[in-house]
Amino acid sequence: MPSFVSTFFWITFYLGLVLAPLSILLSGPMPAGSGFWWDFSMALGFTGMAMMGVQFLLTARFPFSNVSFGIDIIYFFHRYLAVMALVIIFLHVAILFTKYPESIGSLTSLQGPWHMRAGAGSLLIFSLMIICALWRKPLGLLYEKWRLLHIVFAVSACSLALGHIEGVSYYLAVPAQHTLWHMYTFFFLLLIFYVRVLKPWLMYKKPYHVTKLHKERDNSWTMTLEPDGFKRLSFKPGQFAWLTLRASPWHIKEHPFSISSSAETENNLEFTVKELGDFTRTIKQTSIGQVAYLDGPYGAFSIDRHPQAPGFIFIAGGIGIAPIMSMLRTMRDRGDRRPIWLIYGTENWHDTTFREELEALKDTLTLHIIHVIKNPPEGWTGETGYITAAILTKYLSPETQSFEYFLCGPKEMSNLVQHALRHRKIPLKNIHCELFDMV
Amino acid sequence: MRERWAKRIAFLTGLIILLLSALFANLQNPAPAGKKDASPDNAPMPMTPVAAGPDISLTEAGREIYNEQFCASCHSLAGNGAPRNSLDAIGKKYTDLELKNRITGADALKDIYSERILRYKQRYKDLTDEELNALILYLKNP
Repeated sequence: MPSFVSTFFWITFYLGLVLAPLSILLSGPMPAGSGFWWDFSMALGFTGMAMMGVQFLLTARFPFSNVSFGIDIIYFFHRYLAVMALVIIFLHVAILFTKYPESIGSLTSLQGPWHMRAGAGSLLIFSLMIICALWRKPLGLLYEKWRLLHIVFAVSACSLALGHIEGVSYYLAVPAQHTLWHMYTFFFLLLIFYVRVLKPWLMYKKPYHVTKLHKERDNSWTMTLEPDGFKRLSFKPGQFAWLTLRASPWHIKEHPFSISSSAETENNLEFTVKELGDFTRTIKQTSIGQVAYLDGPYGAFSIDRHPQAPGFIFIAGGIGIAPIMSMLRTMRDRGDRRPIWLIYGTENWHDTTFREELEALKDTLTLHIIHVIKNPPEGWTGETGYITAAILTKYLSPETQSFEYFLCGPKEMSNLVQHALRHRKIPLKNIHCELFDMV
Repeated sequence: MRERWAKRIAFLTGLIILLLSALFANLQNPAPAGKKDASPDNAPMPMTPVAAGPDISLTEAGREIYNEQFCASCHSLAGNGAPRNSLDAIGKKYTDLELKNRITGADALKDIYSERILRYKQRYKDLTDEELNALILYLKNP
């Protein structure tokens, strides 16, 4: 785990937010009990809703959400907590359904009180939302459409759930509880305003222009951006940003990409993008001078977070080389001569992105490169297949044991290498990986 | 591996929330689980036979109104429905007029009910006198 104390702090903070509505009841004169199962169900309803509300906070991309574990982890957390919250809300209903069936009547009935229908509607939308998020690709939903749908689902489900709670007005009779719940609602609206109005406006005020588009190996493109009369965002090598092209920042058409250029450049920055999905396939159509907006930087995947490291091991798969290029180029520009091993897995030699520049980097860096080619050309004498434990053992000397390890590539590669590293007794805190392809 | 950690921590967080919710419910209901059903709120009221016997068809109509209006989403009768606001003893406690006022959220009850509850109840003003009478009869003879 990256930082136990920091993780512990944030989890406690999270629990505090979610459990505040309940704990405030305990502070005043306690309402009389109505039977364990009834009160348990009500508590689950409240906490489930509070969890869903806090989900907005998790993905609002506040600067503080960048700390210690990296925003990719926060997104994964967001994903799994949503599932937990849905389970909790289902339990809330299931208890009522089995223990107090009369109190909910028929959930599908359209004649029931509006707040019960609001509750049922909210549960239905929450379920749909989670199904779409967990199985977006098998369902054939395009990323941009899915994001829009996700936001519409989230706002409508939470509004219905708030209406449900307001209508039931169960614990809300306690004034402190009532005030707190209204504060939560207000906060929820404020958050939507920040994420959907204010933040895009701040981005709109800082437009970038595409100044270069360069074809790389393996259907990848490097796009150079320059800020329009201001200082570009300052980033740590290895970080990423959300990029909006051909749309205003209010259009929710942004996509996260790793910055591939050096953090030491004057005032431009580069993204290297591979044609993989519906958006990336259109990158090549970008024209010079086109306006782009950036939200970033984000991510904890950076050598700058480990200034004391004696050396680095970079393990890249395919386009996972992009953030690693940023770190290598930055080290070159800083004259950093700490030892580096790069183990780089690609499909074939022809499609090994940046292979010429990597070779050239050997002159200025203490860099060892091990290419692992899945389909090697004839006469290839280097490593073939996948990056395995055997390859790591063969090339990594004992001194590398205390180095910092950076992994970026497809999930299968990442999992395989992480296991191999754990097997080599590399401490978990020294292994860093960027998780992408989140939805 | 980081993803697995995120998964584990999220699962653990969910579990803690579940346990604390159970603890909360337990704190609210200090009596041992077996006894709580015997509390006066939940126990079915012993029925005192009404001298003339209630009008069966009118009581039945009252029950229908009780169901149609989804009274059980906030109230319970003989342990059925939302236990928070039991109506079991209500027939003994109040006169018909008081009951009518309580059902329809009459302004005179401002001091007893919060504004929110009063507003909620005022939607039952739409019920006719016959319907209210039937409902009250049912509440007295569930």
